[in-house]
Amino acid sequence: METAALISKLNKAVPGAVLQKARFGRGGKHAIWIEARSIAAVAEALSSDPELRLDWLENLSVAQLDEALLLTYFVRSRQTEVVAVLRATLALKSEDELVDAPSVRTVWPMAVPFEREASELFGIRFGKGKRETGILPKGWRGFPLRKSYVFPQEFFQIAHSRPSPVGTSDGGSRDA
Amino acid sequence: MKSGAFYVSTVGKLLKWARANSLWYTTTGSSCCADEVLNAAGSRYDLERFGCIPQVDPRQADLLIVTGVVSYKVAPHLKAVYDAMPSPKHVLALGACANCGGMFAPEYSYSVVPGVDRIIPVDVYVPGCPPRPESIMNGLIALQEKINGNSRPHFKAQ
Ligand code: SF4
Repeated sequence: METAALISKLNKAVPGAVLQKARFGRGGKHAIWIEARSIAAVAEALSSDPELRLDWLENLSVAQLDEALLLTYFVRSRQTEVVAVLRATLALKSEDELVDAPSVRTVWPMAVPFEREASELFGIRFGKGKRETGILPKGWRGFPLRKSYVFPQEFFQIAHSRPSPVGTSDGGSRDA
Repeated sequence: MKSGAFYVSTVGKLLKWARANSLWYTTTGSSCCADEVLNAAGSRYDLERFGCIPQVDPRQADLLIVTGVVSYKVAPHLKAVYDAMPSPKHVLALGACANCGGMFAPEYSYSVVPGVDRIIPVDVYVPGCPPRPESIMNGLIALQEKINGNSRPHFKAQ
């Protein structure tokens, strides 16, 4: 299905959710940028539409662009041939504050591991839940995949540094 | 020579020889270097020639081969494996990641321990990314020499 047709369906189902259409990657694909607060409604609309039946979330990736987190949802249908890429941004308030995003796990149950990972590593609260943990060791502070994350000098009494290679005096730093 | 001294030195040498030639090993296999251990253990390189038999239970092992990345989350579990081994026990750090963090160096990675020697004592470091089976065998022979009291010359970082 053409992206334009997909957008017109979305505009009918969730008015105001679609922000724009943009080229995605080098091929002819397009991503649909949506309002972050409408993610759950858009997911519901895409999966329940009888022509689309976008019932499979292939991947949810998160990246930080300046002061915003960019969420990219790759969705496809197991019954029709339709595929779609949805994108939304979440504004970061401060370095160590959690940001909120709607959860799509009730529509696409396979979102659970993706949301869990993004929640822990980027500091996102999906749905009404808490920030989830499980990947990082207990007691870990901060959100390590945010650009503002500063590596501490030590973790659990293990110094997070290397001695200088023999014969150098720059501390072994490759950036020196 | 007193007979006691003769006994201790000869039996001691015999014990060292036996230990050096029956290094039963357990391996952590946390990343790609583990494949090279499999190659080294396979029929082409055949680690069993050196008396090295793989063990799944650390309580049956004399040698711990740490292959690759050790994350902070895994560090206490690795220490537990080492603690479960009976003495005398030895550790072979295999590959750049186990030696010093490798490409997951502390400048770039927040989650990888920069060298397994921060957690457990290491006897022999085998460089490479990954080390070839020949290097692994060379590391094992270095360890055997060390157990026999003939350590190779080495230098330490300042
Ligand atoms: S040293 Fe290289 S081959 Fe070995 S675990 Fe690290 S990245 Fe993989």
